[in-house]
Amino acid sequence: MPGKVITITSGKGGVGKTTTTANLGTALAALGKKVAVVDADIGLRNLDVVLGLENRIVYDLVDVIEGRARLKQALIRDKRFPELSLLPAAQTRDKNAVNPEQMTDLSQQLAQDFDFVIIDSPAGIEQGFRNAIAGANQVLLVTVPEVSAVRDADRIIGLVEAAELPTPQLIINRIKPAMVRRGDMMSVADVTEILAVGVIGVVPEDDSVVISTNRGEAVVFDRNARAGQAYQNIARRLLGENVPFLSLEEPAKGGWLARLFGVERR
Amino acid sequence: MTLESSKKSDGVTIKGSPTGLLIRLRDEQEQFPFQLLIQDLAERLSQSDKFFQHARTSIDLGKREIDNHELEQLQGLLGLHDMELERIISGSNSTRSAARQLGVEFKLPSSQNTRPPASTERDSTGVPFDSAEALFVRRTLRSGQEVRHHGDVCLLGDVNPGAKIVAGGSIVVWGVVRGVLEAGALNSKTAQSATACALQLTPSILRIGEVVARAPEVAPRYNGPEIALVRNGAIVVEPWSPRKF
Repeated sequence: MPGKVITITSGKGGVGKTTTTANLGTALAALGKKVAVVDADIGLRNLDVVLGLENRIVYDLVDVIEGRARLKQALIRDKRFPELSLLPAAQTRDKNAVNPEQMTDLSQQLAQDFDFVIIDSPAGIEQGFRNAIAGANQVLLVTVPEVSAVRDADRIIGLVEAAELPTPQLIINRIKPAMVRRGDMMSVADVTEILAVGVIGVVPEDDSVVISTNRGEAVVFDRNARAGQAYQNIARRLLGENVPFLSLEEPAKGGWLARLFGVERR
Repeated sequence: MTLESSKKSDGVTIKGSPTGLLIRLRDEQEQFPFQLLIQDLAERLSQSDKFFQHARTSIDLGKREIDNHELEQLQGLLGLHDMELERIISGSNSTRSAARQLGVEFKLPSSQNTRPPASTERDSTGVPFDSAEALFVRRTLRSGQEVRHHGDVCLLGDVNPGAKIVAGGSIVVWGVVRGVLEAGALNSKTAQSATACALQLTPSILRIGEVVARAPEVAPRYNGPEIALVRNGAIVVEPWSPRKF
């Protein structure tokens, strides 16, 4: 049975598509699945950087599509998890170097050898986005709890539905529970009230993401990182497990600062 | 000039009949790209200016495949000349689906019957019957999506920010409206009597006929069902109770 092709997209840039792709890929590989992560952001590649595999790129996605390399040659095996492979984007070309039919063929080819093919979509709704969703069986939509990102996410849901793909599932990223409690940030309920689609994960804002991204490691390795925990939970939900959502209460550290903020809670 | 325009308009034929106007656009895409035909048609219509005013028009597109956007272009062009696109005749599935989405009536071509139908019935208010036809939409309109229909529109779902309903008649939304509503639009004769109502009527822009209202900066307290209508040239919004409708 061929594997599942999952596209990670958002519409708006900078909401965490690449981080999500890297972490879900790593988490699924850690759970023993064969995973290929594909960087569809041709011309602005950075999934390789986040995974720390930048120096190993010999061939890229466009080389494969244009027949200069075989798929197996272009796939880069992860440093820690042999089950995880990366197909990097070309940096010297642009989105028009590939068309949706070629992407569909490519993802089907990958799905023969892998349990999961996770495609990191570029921001926007143009050619690059259409390429990225072309071969998808499932679409995960990343948003942050901001009005502008939610507006873009809404547009993406419309476009994904128009392409006759299943309704996307939502990942709400970088939520700050304290701000939500104070009413200064949209809550999960506020976001879903507008988007009216299922939520597959809520990832709290977490400084460890910045640290691990800069080191080229996935945050799921960090046992203490709440964001890492959240990504692991999403990975398990993708495998069909019923995992309860993380409590968004911040862990009580017992410091005077935490207590000070605790007083403010209503 | 006559010579040039007749040469250019090879792809467009306009025929009159007692019941309406039939515009035929040749469907050979290579020879007559759609945008060229649109230009030709625009030229022909503006030459005869008022002559076609209020004409109920059928457009025969043959087997040509056009999308929503192109069909809207045709609608818009006719609207510009106060003409009403009554139906399209199309042998293409995708074109007919575009028509369905935009609420334009459509039919399959048949060799004997490509003339516009003889439906000139009118009701007591002088409104053509077909503008009383309602379109029922059962989905949420998301940012960038638009429903355009010459009659009334009833939508079961939300109208999200950045989405839009344009209706010749009234609009009823069983859901939350945060996008744009235009009732009594498309040169409708019933513009002033059109209404717009929703379970939560908080549109960013609300237009009824020629009157436009913008959302208040501060969210109003009341958020039950409301109905908007035009009274003394201004849009009035009231709680929506069945008795009023």
